[in-house]
Formats: sequence, structure tokens, C-alpha cells
Amino acid sequence: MLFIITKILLHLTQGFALFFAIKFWDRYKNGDQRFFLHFMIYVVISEIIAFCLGYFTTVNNTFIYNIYVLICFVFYFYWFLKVQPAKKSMIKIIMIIFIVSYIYAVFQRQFFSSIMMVPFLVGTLSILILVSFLFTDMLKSEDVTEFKNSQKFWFATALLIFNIGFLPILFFQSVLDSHSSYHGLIMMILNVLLYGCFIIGFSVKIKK
Amino acid sequence: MNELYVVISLVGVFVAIAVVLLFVSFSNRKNKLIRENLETALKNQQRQHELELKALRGQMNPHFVHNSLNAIQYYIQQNDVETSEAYLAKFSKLMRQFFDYSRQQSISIKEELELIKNYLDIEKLRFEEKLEYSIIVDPNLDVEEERIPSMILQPIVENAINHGLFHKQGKGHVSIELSYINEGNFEISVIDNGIGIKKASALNKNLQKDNKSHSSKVLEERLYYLKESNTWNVDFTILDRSSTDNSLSGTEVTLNFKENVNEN
Repeated sequence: MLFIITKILLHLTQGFALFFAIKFWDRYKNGDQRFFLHFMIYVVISEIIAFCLGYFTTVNNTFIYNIYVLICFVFYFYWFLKVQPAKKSMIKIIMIIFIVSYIYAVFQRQFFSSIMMVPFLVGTLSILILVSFLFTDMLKSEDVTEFKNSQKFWFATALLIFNIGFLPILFFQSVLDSHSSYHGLIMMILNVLLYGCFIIGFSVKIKK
Repeated sequence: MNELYVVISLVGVFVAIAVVLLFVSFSNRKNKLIRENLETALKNQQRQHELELKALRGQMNPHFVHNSLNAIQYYIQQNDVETSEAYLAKFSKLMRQFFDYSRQQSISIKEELELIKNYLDIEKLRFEEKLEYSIIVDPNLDVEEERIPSMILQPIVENAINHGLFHKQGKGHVSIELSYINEGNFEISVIDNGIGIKKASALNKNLQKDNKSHSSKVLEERLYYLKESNTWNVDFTILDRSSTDNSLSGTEVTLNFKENVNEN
């Protein structure tokens, strides 16, 4: 029962995030954050496909989440490239390390059987590093006076909260039952925080 | 199950620490920046007030008062009571305008032009037929509605007379031209046919090496602080007319009032 409730709540939050992304599209359609709408559409479609495969067929839907891991982190890296052009070289190196780790995991034949933890760990640590650099730069700029009205701040906060919370789960992966209700509950809370921050980010009134 | 509790606790602690640290550092930095900006704005405002006072002192310069009263005295001695009365009335009106307008940050163009006209009429006492002036207003410019920083033109006109026309042989002419550019954007030029800023600076050792008199610098600084405080956006240019055309003489000072000028 808890498992179903957490799943419903998770998908509801994703749906809300997509709804707000579409509703406030005019506010941010010319900014660096515009691709978050496309990303949210992908997230929702990906979840629907995974749900359909799991519910209506006997096909293991793990590969959908493994594709999600690749697209999700590559998208975040691309966004960091947009908002932090000065750190271009570093971001590109991080991206290459992530892709190499992903290819390594594919060769370990994990793609169809289980969530690939190596690229997940590399991606999570990379995002935490990039978020710290972004926040440091934001703190140095004059824009900090309006940080609560900054989309960049809220999207970066979302990534920080999700990834820092996900870190202990990654480290204790071997001793945790990923199918347990409590595991699902933690993941749901982290996702609600992630998409909640996205919703705030989409809703803020951007100062021109 | 124990491991699960450890993980849940770690997730909670990590997220809580990250969120608290993030918001505390951003809020602290934000407050610090706002404080610094306020301090800068306050300093700018103080400097602006100092400059306004300086500008006022410049307008009320003792030489001008002394010369005007001397000229009026001359007419009294000549028994020309009518002229002396007329000029005394103009002089008292000008003094009153100086005090009234100095209290206001902005006045209408019409009020500024009245002050200038009064000032020029009194200066005509000193120069007699040697000084002529004209004020040309673009009919598209609403002089009653459009506002400018108070007494911004008077020091420019005074400069034109004291440094441009004073040393000139023959008749001198000061022209004040106001042109409408577009909504909220207009230009005011003060043109004299005097000796020009280059010759004037060579004659007057008190003038700065960069051809700018003290009052021009005060004016420029005043405009800078008005722009800094987002009150006005005025471009100031000064040109020796002979540098563009050898047949011309004198100086042309132009003030360009830009679109983002605010009402005060």
C-alpha cells in the first residue's frame, strides 16, 4: 500500500512540475532554463512508458531508467555549460568521465538487468561539484540580492537537495532492499523536493 | 532494518544541512550586498547634495551680486529711477527664484527659462548693448510639463558670459536652444559667439588644463551623481565651435536629457 501511495505521489509531483513548466513557459522561454520544459516532458513520457511496460507486459523496464540516467545527467551537464560558460572545460571533462563510466557499466551487462550504479554515483558526485561552483559564482555576483527570484537558484537547489540526499542511498545500496516500501518512501520524498524546487523555479517572476 | 534507519537519518541530515547552509549563506550575502549598496547610495546622495550646494554657491557668487548692485547704483546715480526700479525688481525676483528653486530637486523648463531670462536681463545691465540673447524653444517641447534638475542651465549661461563674451571685442550673443527629440528625450544647447573655450582657458590661468572650468566640472559631477541615483540621465558635451568650422567662434554646451528621465 505504502509503495503504491509513494508511486502515485511521485508521479503527481512530476505531473505538477510539467504543468507549471507549460503554464509559465512565456516567462522563461528565452532563458537558459527553457530546456527544462523539454526535460520535464521527457521525464513524464519516460515514467509512462516504464509504468506501461511494468504493468501490462512482462518486460523488465529497468533499461528505461538506465536510459533516463544517461539523458538526465547529460541534460544537467548541458545546462551547467549554458549557465557557467567560464567552467566549460571542466564541465566537458566531467561529462566525458560520466559517459566513460556509463559505457563501462553497459559493458558490465547491467543495462537490462539492474540500475547502473557506477554512472549514477559518478553523475551524482559531478552534479554536487558543479552545483557548489555555481553557488559560489552566484554568491560573488550582484544577482544574489534577488536569489529567491532566480530560476537558476531554484533549479540548482533542486539538484543539490536531490543529489546530496541520494548520496547515502548510493553508498548503502548493497545493504538496502531497493524494492522495499521505505526505500520507495525516501526516493519519493527526494523526488518531491526535487520537483517542488523545479515548480518554484518555473513559477518565479523573472526580473528583466 | 537498522541500515535503513541509518540511511534515512543520513538523507535527512544531509538534506537539512545543505538547505540550511545554502539559505543562510545566500541570505547573509544578500543582506551584506544590500547594506553596501545602501551605503554607496547614501554617500552618492550626500555628494549630490554637496554638489547642489556648490552649484548654488556658484550661482550666488559675490561678484555677480556686487556687479548687479553696482549697475543698479549707477542708474540711481544717473537719476534714472525707472530703469533702476525695473532692475531692482528683476534682481529681487532672481534672488527669490534662487532660494525657491534651490529647495527643489527639479523644476519645469518654463521656470528655469524664466530664471535664465531674469539673470540675462540683469547681466545686460553690466554689458549694456554688448550683450544680446535669444531663447529658441521647439514648439513640440512642452516646457510646462517637462522637468529638469533645478538651476542646471544658469552656470552654463554664466560661463558663456564670463569666459566667452567678457573678452570678446564687439557684440556678444548667447543663444539658448531647446529641441524636442522624442517623448522624454530633448536637448538644450547654450551657444555663445565669444572667444571659445580654447582661448578662454589660455587667458584664464584658473581654468583647468582640460579646457573645463571649475563650474563645468561641478556641473558634470552633479549630472554624474544624478545619473547614479537613477534620478536623471543627462549627457553633457562641450565644444569649441571653431574646431568644427573655422568661420565660427564661441562655445556650444549641449545637455541631452535621455528617455529614462524620471519625474521627481
